[in-house]
Amino acid sequence: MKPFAVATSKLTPRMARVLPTLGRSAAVLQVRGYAAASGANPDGLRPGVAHSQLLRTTSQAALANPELAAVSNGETKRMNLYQSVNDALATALGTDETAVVFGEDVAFGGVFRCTVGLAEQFGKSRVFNTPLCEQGIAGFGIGLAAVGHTAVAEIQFADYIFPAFDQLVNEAAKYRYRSGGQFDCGGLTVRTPCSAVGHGGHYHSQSPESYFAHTPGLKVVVPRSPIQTKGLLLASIRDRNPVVFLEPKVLYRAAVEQVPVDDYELPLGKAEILKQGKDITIVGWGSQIYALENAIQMAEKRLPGISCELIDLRTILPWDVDTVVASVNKTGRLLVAHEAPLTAGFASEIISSITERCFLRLESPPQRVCGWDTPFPLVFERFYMPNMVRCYEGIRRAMQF
Amino acid sequence: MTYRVGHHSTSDDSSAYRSKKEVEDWKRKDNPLTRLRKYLEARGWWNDALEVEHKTAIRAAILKEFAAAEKQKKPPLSDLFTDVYDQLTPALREQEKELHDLIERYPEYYPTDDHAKSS
Repeated sequence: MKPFAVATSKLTPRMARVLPTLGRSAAVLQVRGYAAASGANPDGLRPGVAHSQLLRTTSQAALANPELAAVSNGETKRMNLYQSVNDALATALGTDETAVVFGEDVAFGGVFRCTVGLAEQFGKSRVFNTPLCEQGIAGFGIGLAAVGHTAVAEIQFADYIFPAFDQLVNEAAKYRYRSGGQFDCGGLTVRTPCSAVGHGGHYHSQSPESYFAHTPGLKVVVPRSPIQTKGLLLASIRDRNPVVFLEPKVLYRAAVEQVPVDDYELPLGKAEILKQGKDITIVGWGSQIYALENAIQMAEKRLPGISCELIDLRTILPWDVDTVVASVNKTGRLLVAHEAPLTAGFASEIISSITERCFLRLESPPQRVCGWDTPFPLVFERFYMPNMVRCYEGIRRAMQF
Repeated sequence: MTYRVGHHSTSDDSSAYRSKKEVEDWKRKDNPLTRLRKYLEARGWWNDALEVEHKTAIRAAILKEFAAAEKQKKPPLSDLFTDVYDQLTPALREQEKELHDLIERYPEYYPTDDHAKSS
């Protein structure tokens, strides 16, 4: 509950316009705890981001990552995910004089504090508020990028990116293609908070990655942790293609790591194997990774002898087919989980590609564990989510086919 | 154009993103609420006594309904799947059954006592 409690204390004109009851409902929910789990875990597990073993909470663990070899002699600093966004933006602004950061309320720090202090540090001409107009924010960013700026736009919630859908799909994504490579808006990155938060309801919970994954010309990135966020956001900002960067809002404060203070990037289009295993490949991204981590703990406890391989896809488009193929060729089984609805979700794309490439190796039908084909519900959130138990049940079905 | 003179919600401090002077100016300048009140009073249709009586009555009525609503169970789980369309689609029927089976298999993870029973 904590991330949103703080965020709602900074409700802004944008939220006033679109969701007049949010602050009230969030306050009520904190008291009544609609989505909160209660009591001891029946399997003796300690689920949740706070207990995750995937987070690198010591400097030594953080710098042991081979992808961070370039900064392995540097310092680290304790940061949560919103602070790592802030650090990446400060790094981008400090190393690129053409870079600008803009969006609704970003000048005073934004609803999730991601841009706090940047206007003071880099000036109001480089970090500034926009009108409440997502189509305008995207269009303005495309124009800036087309004439050589590095444009980092914020859409206050991913649920409100759809007024910008036309600009992103019809303009940003096609700019290079339709001009035969003469022009592009590759300097554009659109950051936006996504996914469930415990009490966000229809309009503060959605995971729209697959809409954008259906758009050739865009890249789509979803980070899982502070270290990943800084490296992937800097790579996205510097990538020469427009990128939609989806930040799981539930992690802004909940996920804490020792983050290298130096400038570094993590590769786009490259998945990361978080845990090796021999019996089933499990793919996810963003905050879903932590539900999958817990589901694997449950599976390895309830189904003795099995081991699960966990892959964070990180980039949804273009996605790392090779890493998933190699894994499934080893394990023979596949489960993909995401919060977005099942039908036409990105799990379907992954499973189609893997079925084409690994058909004779598959031991059981690939499993999709996803949100139901409904709008994201408020009072039913805990029944909607592809949580630990549902993901465990998917693993069990794949193993006991 | 409209302007919100209150905070956005009970958990909002709007002075974080706008000056108090700006809000006070808008409260005074051409405020339609004040204008309507003055108009009603000038016509003899409203006065302080009526205002107090109305506020007291409406507050009591809201608190009564609020207390009654808090005693009700949350809606039945079937409401998760209805009203997406006018009728359940085959996919939604299948997913509702999947959720039902999941709750039966893992009741320790899915307490449902605080929801009304599905009809």
